[in-house]
Amino acid sequence: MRRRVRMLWTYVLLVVLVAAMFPVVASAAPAQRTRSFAIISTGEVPILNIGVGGTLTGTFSGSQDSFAIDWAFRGISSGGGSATASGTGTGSWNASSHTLTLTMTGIDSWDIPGFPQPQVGSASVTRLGPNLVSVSVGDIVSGIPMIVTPRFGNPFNNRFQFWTATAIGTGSVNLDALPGAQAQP
Amino acid sequence: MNADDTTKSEVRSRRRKVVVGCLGAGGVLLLVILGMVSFVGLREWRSPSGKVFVETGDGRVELQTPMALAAPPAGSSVDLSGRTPQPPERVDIPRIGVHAEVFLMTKEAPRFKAAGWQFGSAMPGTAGNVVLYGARSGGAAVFTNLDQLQPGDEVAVSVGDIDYVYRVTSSNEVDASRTNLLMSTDEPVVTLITDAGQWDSAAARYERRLVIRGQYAEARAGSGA
Repeated sequence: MRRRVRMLWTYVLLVVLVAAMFPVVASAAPAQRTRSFAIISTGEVPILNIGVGGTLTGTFSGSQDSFAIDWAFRGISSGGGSATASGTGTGSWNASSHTLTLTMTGIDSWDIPGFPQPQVGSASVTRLGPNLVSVSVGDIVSGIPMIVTPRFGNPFNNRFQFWTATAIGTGSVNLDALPGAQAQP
Repeated sequence: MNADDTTKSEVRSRRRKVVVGCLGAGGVLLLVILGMVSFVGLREWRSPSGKVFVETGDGRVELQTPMALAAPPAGSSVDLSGRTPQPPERVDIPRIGVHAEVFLMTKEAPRFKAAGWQFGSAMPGTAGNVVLYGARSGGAAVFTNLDQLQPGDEVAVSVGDIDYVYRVTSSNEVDASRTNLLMSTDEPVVTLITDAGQWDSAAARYERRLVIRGQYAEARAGSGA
C-alpha cells in the first residue's frame, strides 16, 4: 500500500511541478515561444510523512495549444540523500476549462530513492482558485488539491518564471535556528 | 389483521430502517468530510503551505524571494538582460578549494557531499540574501575550512552558464539561534553557514555557527558556458 502511495505521489509531484509554471489566465496568439522556468516544491505528503523537496528547472516551447517540455529535477529525499531526474513531455492549455493537460513522453534519468520510476502517461491540472489546483492522473486518482504560488494559469501569458508548489495541508516552514547538522558526524 | 397486512407492515418497517440507515451513513460521511475540510482550512490559515517564516525574538517574519535579477555590478562581463532568477546549482570558493553542488533544503541539510540552499532565501544575482549551508565535518563536509576565508575572497554561486561572484565582507561565529541572519536583505548578498562550537546532545545540534557574508561583486560566464 505504501509503495503504491509513493508511486502515486511520484506522478502527482511531477505533474504539479510541471503544472505550477502556469499562472494568469488569458488568451494568447499561438506564436511559437520558448521560456525557461524554475519551480520549487517541498513535495511532502502530510500524515504519511514521505516526500522529496527540490527544484524543477527547464524550458517549455511551442504555443498554449501544444507545447513541449524539457525538465530536470534536483532535490533531497526525506532520508537526506540526493534525488535527481530529467525527462521530456508535451502539454496543452484549455482556456475555457482552465485545465492543463500534460503527457510525460520520456524519462532520461531517474535517481530518486524511495520513489520508483513512473511510467510515462497523461495527467491534468485544473484551476480551482487563483492559487489552488486539482490534480488528476490518468484513471488512478482525481482531485488532489495543491497550492501554487504565484497564480496558476496560461503557460504562455505570465510574467513569472519561478513558482512554488506544495500539497495542501503541508504547512509552512518555520526556521527557529540557523541551518546545521542534524546528527553528530 | 391478516397475513397480507403483516407482511406489508414488515416491508414498510424494513424500508424505513434502510432509509434511516442510509441517512445516518450519509450524515456521518458528511461530518467526516466537513471535519477534514475544516482541519485543512484551519491548518492552512495558521500555517500556510509553501511559505517560509523566520522565528525571531519579536515574532515570525515571512521570507520573500525576489523575482527579478538585480542590475549586475560594474565590471560584470556578461549581459543578463532577458534572464530570470534560477535556483543555485554550484558553489565554488577557490581559496579553500570548495567546489560543491547545491541542493534545495527546507529544514533538513544534505546528508551527502553538497551544500544546501535554504528554501525561502534569495536566488543568486537578485537583491536578496542567498543562504547556503555546508557541513563542517563528517561525510557530508563541504565547508570544512570556511574559517580561513578573508575579506575580499571570492565566492562564486553558479546557475547554468553564469557565475554570480560575491566577495567576502565579514566572518563571525554566532549562536545557532541568530535567525536574523536568514532574513531578506535589500542588497544582494550571500550568507555561508557551517557548524561551530560543541555538539549539544540535548538539542541535537551544534550550539554555534560560523557565518560568512559576502557582497555581490560580479556576474561572469561560468564553467557551464
